[in-house]
Amino acid sequence: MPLILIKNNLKLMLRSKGILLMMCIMPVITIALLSTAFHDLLNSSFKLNGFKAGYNINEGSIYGEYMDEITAICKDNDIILNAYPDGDGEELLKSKTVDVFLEIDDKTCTIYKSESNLAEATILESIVTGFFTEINENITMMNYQMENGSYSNSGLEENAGNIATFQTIRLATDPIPDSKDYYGIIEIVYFMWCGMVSLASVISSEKKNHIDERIRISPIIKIKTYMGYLFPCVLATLVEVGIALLLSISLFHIHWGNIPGSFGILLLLSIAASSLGIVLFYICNNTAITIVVGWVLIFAMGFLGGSFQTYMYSTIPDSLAMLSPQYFINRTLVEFSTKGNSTYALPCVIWLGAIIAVSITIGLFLTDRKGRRRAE
Amino acid sequence: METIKIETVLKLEGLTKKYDNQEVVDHISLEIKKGEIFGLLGPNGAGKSTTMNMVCSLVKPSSGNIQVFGYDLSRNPKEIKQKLGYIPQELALHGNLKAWENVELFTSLYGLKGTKLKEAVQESLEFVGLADKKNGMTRTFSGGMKRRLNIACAIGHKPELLIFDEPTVGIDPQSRNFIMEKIRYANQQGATIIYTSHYMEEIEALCSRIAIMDNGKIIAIGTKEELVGMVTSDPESNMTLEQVFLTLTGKKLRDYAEGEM
Repeated sequence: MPLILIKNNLKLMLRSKGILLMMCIMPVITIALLSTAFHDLLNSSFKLNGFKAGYNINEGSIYGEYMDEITAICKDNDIILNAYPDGDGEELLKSKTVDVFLEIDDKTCTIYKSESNLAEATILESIVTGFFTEINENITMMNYQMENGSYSNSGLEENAGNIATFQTIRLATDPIPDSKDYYGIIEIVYFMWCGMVSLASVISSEKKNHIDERIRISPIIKIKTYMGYLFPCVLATLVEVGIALLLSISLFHIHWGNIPGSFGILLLLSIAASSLGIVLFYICNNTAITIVVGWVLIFAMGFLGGSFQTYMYSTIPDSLAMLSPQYFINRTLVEFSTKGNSTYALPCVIWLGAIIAVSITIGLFLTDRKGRRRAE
Repeated sequence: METIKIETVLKLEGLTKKYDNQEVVDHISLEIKKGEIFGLLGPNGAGKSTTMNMVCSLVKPSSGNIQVFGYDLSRNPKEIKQKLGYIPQELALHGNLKAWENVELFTSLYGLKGTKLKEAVQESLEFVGLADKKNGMTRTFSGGMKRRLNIACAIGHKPELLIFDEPTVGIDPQSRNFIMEKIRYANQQGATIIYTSHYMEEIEALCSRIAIMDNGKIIAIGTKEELVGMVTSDPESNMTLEQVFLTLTGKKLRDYAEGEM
């Protein structure tokens, strides 16, 4: 391991004040701008005003005695639930007397909802279903205990043997991050790709000062020369973006959720960005052109992958978005923040692993070829 | 690895380099003995730098053979590189590193580590008189200081063959004198020196043998007296090296653009 080469190249990268400033400050500014700009759009999705709901229930239904309890729960959630014993759901909705209507008998629970009140209907359905499921479970348990002779009086015995089967609908809804968490995470991801720019301070200094000749006349092997670029770039990116990340956490209280998982993804990302950067520097063979090409590439990945919009309201088709590794990285980290886990984590790791493997292979090949071509 | 008793440090046999069918180095052969300070002179585009670049493995020869310390360069480049120090004409230094960091970086490329590396860095900086400026940022150094630091970066691994490519370009007389003294000192310590320069008086003062190159060929080689003897039969002649050089290479201007040599 060429530790001295790595150490000194890292110093060169971190002493480049312009890059350091850009990498530490720009993410914070971008997070502030985007999270403010999209604040209302993102946060409106889970802000609902209270609404009115009605129900009627068959006389003698086993659920009748629990309706007061359900009404109290609804009240706690700003939902006014009133009984309409002779009410017709359709008419009550049309007349806007209620926003949602429930019709309950012993076997089914029907929900009347209008196109404009789908969210309200979903919320009420969730409350009622959850509550009734719990009642059913208690009754089932009581039946079992009665058969085994271990039942102690709970007041449910009159309903024993008379259990309705409820269809419970589980909604596949994920928790939604607020705008600060969302942009706080995906802009860190975006700027981590930009970490490849740190290579410019070493490569341009080597070119400008003919350092390359000194390296080529030394007995150092090519793989060590390559490591002398890759490792410092990874470390510099982690340091620079790490500062930005800490700044953003302290300023905006961004919640990363699964911290070890997120760190693992960010580490892989910094390796991918650095190895890809080396390939671009070798191919373009010009610092300015490399920076432009790198920026276009990162922007395209970010644009497709949702770095500049809220992915919940993305206008990019999924088939296109999935061409960008950013798509998987953003979703993984955002879901780590909101749920602590993500189904996108595996494809995300595969994407990053593939970029690293391909870039390192090409980078090593180009390091060797560059030396041979210059000698010819 | 078979080693032989080495008296010849560098041996070139029929060394040739062609670019686009133009021979910029044309079948040159020479031998440099251990302990020599060997001067290589020639007008611009004569092929001096290309020859030295081939010795340093920076350029691949089109044909011919290079032996350094008895090792064939094409077969044992690593062994040769370990024994060779090259001080390029350009200042090959990172401006954003401190003086000692530059020396440490380039010395470490030769495999030195830990205490040995620290000692080598300190010795190199002392050798060029920059030990007290070791914490200075290189970009803030004067031209002379940078030239000396450029030398320090190439000698940390204690090479047995040192190649200086115009090491005194653009510096004040004090720095030039300091560098010349240090080259002599390194030679006294056992290093063999190859020195290329346009400054005839430097070559004259330093070198025990001199080769003059022109159009890719060595047109004369020997001590200063032997070179004078090639252009005049007068034993009392006071010809300077410059007069000998101009007599042998002519007075025609040698303009060439990059890539032409």
